[in-house]
Amino acid sequence: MFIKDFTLHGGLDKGQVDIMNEKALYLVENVGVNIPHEGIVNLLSDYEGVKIEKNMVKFRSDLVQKALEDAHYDLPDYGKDRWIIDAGAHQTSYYDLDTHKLRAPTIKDLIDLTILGDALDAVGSAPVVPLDVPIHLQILSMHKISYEYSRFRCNDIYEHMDKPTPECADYLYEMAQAAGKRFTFGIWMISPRSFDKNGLKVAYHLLDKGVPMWISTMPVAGVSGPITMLSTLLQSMFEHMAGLTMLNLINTKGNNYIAPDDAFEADPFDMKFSTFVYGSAEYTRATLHKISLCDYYNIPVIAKSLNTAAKEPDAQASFENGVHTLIAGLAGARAFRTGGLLSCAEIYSAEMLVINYEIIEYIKNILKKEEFNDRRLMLDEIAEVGPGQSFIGRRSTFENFRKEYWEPELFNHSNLGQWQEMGSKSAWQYTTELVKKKIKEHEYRIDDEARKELDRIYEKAKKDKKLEDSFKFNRGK
Amino acid sequence: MFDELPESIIRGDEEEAKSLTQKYLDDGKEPGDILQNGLIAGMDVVGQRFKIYEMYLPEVIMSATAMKSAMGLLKPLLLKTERSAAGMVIMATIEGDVHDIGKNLVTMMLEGAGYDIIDLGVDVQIEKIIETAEKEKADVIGLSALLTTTMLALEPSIEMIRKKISPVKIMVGGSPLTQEFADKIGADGFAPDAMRAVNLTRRLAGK
Repeated sequence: MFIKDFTLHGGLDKGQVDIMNEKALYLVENVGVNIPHEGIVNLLSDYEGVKIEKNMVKFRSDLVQKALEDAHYDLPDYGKDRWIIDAGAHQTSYYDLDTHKLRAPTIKDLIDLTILGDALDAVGSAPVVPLDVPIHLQILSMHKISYEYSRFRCNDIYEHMDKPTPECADYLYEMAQAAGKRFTFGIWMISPRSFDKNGLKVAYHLLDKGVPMWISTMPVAGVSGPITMLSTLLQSMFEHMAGLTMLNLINTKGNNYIAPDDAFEADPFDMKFSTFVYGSAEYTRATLHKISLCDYYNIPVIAKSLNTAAKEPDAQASFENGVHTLIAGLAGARAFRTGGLLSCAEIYSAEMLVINYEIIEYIKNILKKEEFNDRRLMLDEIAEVGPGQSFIGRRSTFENFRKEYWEPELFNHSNLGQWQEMGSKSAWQYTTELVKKKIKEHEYRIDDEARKELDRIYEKAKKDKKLEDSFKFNRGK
Repeated sequence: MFDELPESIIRGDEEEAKSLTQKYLDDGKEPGDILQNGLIAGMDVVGQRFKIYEMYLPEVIMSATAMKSAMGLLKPLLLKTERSAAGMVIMATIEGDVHDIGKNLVTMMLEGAGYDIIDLGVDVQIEKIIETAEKEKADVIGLSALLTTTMLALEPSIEMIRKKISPVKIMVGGSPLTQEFADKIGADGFAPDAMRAVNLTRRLAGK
């Protein structure tokens, strides 16, 4: 008789997760991971329960359990009670707002897209890589712009920015202190069962600074993980556990955790096109499994439901994002990423970010709790308005219409004639206008004192030959 | 003459491919003939079907595996000119980058297409690439980069190669790369997937 909360059945149940947990622990203890860093392996060799053969390292289960228990996840206040859009990151192809053609993003695009993201309360990492900036200053620019033009970006548990060299990490640390922002460092594993040695090098460099560190991995089913999504999820669990245990043993002064952004990520691979395929049915199903796993390990849930294989902000993009986000929302997710991305994270689209935001608002309004009471049943209203009359002019209509109905900013509810009168614009055209308006109108900037200090650090970095050389991998050494 | 052999390659039947190859050798057929009209003929069909998305990656890999196994029987018997008929390709993921899924697929496809490949692996210094390409008289060098930091190192790498070796052709690949970017950095070609890399190699090697 009463309206119940929406529920979703399916995904992994607790018994199944128990089994996967056991198997993942078995893999960590008996199969191990490759850690190609002598200094880190030496540190690990001090611990009982760590077995090392050359660079292959196995951890006893109790060490893994401890690492999982020790991890804590400092959700920002805004992450606790509202729906979060975690906008996508580091793209090198961008849809020009005027021509709708793909091109390399610039520093101006980075600023505009950061402003746009902040207008939509987006969190996460910097949206694009400014390819008109020298390589050794790109990551610094991305952080600097994020601090200057955004309240949330590069400043919370949702960000996963690269810090590719120790010298770069040192500058970013200094910038974060100057701006009063959060500094973390993350290591990406290279599936199967290994680490990016540059990442280990930077981690080792930061060990005595009390820096929070996170681990991430993304095995790909049928390529860097076994063919079934379940088995690749299991591999992801194993790799995450091993990586977290490693961090917990060596980064003793900082909090270590599994990055919620890609917690237990397992990606499907399209064997026809030989490419990742986000937004597919299997990927959506994997999100349900991830949510079960994150609940099990008390890791904040972020559904990666805003990625899509679509190349444009079109029907495929909206369908994949919409369905995936709805299902994740029904399963309890309230944070969603990678807003703005297209073509399995090859492209950044400002319009897609706005569409993503609208999708989330739409779904939020589907799932919102609806009061069931006499006030809303309006028995008296029905009785009072006679045959042939209208409710349009009623006080109750006037007082309640805004509360009862969500007014979309983007999805067009006009009739055909109105749409034609307004210029018969396509969704993409209309969204572009909205993007430009939001960028123009959004005003947040970091305070002047912090901005000046960031400028000073950046100017210092520009002249730092050691920083520049640290990015020179192949320049006639 | 070799109808069943291309079919076994297309089906990815390694045992059948080896067995037929041995049978043709025992029958006195020329190894070069078996290679061209048996094995490569089969892989050409596989390549074409893969290119138009009628064959899928695991099927192509099975075919390439069958080809490689059968080639093992022919290699010692082939004349030097026949063995390197397709060309020599050096493959590497650039220094600072450890991603190799795409590179490995390209390597497999090129082997299947009859090229001699030296795969230097990941995180390879440019000096090593140059040294190997010079020593092996490479026709084509294939460079892979998946990170934005390493992708930008491709341009100076290409400059260094050009200073030391001529007239080797250089092709590039990797997820963040585009044709526009490849043109800008002076590469001879860019391929968005493994099959297109094979076609590109054919064009660049001129063989």
